[in-house]
Amino acid sequence: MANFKVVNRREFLKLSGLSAVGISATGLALQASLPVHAEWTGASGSALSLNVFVHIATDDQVTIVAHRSEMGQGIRTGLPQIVADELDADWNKVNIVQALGDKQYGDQNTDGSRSVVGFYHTMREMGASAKAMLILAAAQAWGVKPEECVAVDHRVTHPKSQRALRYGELAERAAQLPLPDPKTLKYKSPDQFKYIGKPVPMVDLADIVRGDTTYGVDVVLPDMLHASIERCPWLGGKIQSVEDSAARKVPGVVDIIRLDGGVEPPAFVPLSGVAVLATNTWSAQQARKKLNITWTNSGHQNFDSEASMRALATQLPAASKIVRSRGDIAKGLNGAQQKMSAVYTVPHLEHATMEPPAATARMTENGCEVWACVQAPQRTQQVVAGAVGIKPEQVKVNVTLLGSAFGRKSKPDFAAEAAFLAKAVNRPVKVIWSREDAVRHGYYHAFSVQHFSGGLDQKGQLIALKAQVASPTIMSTFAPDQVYLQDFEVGQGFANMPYDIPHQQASVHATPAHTRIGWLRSVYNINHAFGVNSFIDEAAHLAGQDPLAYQLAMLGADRVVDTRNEGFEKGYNPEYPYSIARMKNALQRVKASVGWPAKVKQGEGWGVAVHHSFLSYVAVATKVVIENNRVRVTDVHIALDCGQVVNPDRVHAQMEGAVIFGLSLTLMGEISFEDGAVVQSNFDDYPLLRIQQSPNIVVTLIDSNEKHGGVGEPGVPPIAPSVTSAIAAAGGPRIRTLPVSKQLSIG
Amino acid sequence: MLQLTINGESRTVDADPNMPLLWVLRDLLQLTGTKYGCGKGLCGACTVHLNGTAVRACSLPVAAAVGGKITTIEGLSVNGDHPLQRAWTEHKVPQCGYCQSGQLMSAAALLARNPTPSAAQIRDAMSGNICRCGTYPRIEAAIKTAAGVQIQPAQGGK
Repeated sequence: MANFKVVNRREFLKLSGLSAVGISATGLALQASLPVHAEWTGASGSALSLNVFVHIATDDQVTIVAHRSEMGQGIRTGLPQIVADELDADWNKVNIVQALGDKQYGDQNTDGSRSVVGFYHTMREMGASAKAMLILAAAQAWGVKPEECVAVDHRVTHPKSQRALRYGELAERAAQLPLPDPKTLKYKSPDQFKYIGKPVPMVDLADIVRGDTTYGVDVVLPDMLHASIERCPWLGGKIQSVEDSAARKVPGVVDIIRLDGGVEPPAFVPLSGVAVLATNTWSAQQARKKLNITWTNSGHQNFDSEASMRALATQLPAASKIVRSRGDIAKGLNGAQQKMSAVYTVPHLEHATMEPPAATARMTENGCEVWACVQAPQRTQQVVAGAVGIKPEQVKVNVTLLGSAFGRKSKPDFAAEAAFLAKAVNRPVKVIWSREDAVRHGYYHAFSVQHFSGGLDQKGQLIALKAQVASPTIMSTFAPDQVYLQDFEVGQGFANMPYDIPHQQASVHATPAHTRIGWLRSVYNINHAFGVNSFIDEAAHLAGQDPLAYQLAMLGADRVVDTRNEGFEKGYNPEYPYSIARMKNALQRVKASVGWPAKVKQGEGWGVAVHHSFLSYVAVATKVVIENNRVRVTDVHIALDCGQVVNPDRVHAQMEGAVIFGLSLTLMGEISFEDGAVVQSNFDDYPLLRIQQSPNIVVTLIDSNEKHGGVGEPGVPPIAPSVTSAIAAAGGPRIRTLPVSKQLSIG
Repeated sequence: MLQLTINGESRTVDADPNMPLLWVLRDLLQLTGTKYGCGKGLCGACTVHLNGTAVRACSLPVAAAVGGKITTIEGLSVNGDHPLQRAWTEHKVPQCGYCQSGQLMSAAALLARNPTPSAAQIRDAMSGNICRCGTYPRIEAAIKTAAGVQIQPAQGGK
């Protein structure tokens, strides 16, 4: 393990794709022009490369490379459908292959809801470029001008002479042509789109319903061993002693290997652990129970998350930084007619991917080959290379389907474990984390304690808002002594709050991390949307005003949110201006969907919330029913403005999924630590929403010609505050500490 | 050696009788359509049929399946055309797809014993199957569609 290297801050930014300007509101590094002619190792013998992404076989089969990881968001369908459209390919003759990890494809880090945002134009270019080559090939074959030829439905035709050639017939000639100058490419107008904007079914749908798919857990190699790893319960602990004689006697056990981890900051390095390798998973799991391991202490061993959050709720540390300042907060608060304050708390959360982390690896003559459910295959190359002491380009990463991911599978520690063990035993090794392993050794969503103070004028409008947050930063996982939230974290709805309030101040307070802090679907937006929307809702109640009308009023006049002159430099993105008009429109659409204010019976209530994240705008209205201290969420209306849409059905599905993901974390999601170790273990004590708790969901997809925004994450943040505001409206308690199950039972 | 009947075929495995059926299917027989999710019968990802009843393979010792008829997702239909598989396709149910083998097997066991379930009966029968992606609304809709297909012969039968 000596080769595991801890990255510094700058390397982390490079490695993670998280630029300082962030993955959300404040900017995206878009793809630079990609190399278009490169060898593609995945092509079958007859497929001819027109560019990195498009290959055509003489039998007419078009192969499109999916270079982003499929985790349920539909990207293996969405990006290829853009290529196929510009290519005028027949979708029935299109075959999708998954790319290996390889920088020739550009960014493969499937994270931050940015696959379509970052690659929409590139995919069109790949399709249009290949089509131009096919047209030129046909024109040359016929001795006519290319301008006289048109591509239609997998063929190039010459209308004047009524001749036509199939793409397969043109492939060999086209593959010899030089790449067209991108500036000369012709693109379709939206009214000519055949697949873009259409509900094309997922390419893996038929295989999924037959159970004929390969996820990370499913890879089988000849002579493979199955590993189960006991890891140190607390961060930073190392192996002190291992007594494994009983474990070695379990039938099927082949070897027991130490993983001497425990480095800090932990980055993507495997944790300290002892691996049992056996001929089957069951034997490995049984033998693991017979290990007797002692671990060294670390500075995190006394971490008690509930006590820490309670202390932060009572008193914030003085060590702090102001991240935004507008007007004069002291004057604003002192001059207010009415004052209010509240503390909002969100606990640590774990991704709970249905498929736990899993990877299979073998050493090869030239390096190492890995099969894994990873969101970031190029990062996996680097991390695996570090684990086995080779160069990243010697690591071949095959990306399987991901049995959901939500950010967990961006961290390839599990792939490094498999590779390290495969090298140690000189045999292929599959590592499957148990559910308990996943719950107890995650990269956790950061807890958050937010203190809000506000002042209302005589009309009930908020004129002053002071927001203070204590929350560990993701950066603590990658660099030492990081205790303050970074720009890319406070840019997720905290330092760039959209409300038209004249006196505002936002500050971050020093909060050390005692576990691996990671990113989980919508990241800090979960915490900040909960705090901000809850506080606005509380202000509306204090002012005696309708919460939805109050939200609209507080958002103020149509404008672009711009915090550059208020101390938060990153709070402005010229390419994707943060539009109050779109924010308000999302609220108006959800208002119309519900028929707000809807009539309710005793014990029922509606709550509303709105949030901007990942370049998109989402408003949510939720109805709850409370009976005998038992709350049930019955209806959730969600309106999304994500700009132009590639696949409306998958966008709908992502909104349905975001509602249910959001309800799980709101109602019952909590990871807590005692003595440095995670208390929860499986779905009995870390429950997820089940079908009988699933509400009626109504999705409004707002028609828009704006640039593409994110889809996978932005539905999640407004769910929690819409639920807790609905509970308050229904006559229940004002819930400021998530999850709701701490105070009410869940129906 | 244990003798098992899986998807109509006789299979012999050399396994500890206490090994859960899940790992026999996945590791010894390479029938990987049945998924691991929790190992404690909490999530339903490993659901298979034993004599037509939905069971959690992760918590069923393989010895308990000897002599019974085991059906996995691979054996639900010959061509992937079980009414539920067709309905899953029509409603575009899956997102990541990982839990869907178990969802389909639970739903198939439900329809086999109750061809016309009410919404409450569907939710009750499916309550042991977690979908983290949140496909529940479509699962419920697809089961209703498949139930309609199944009862057609009875309704239209002359």
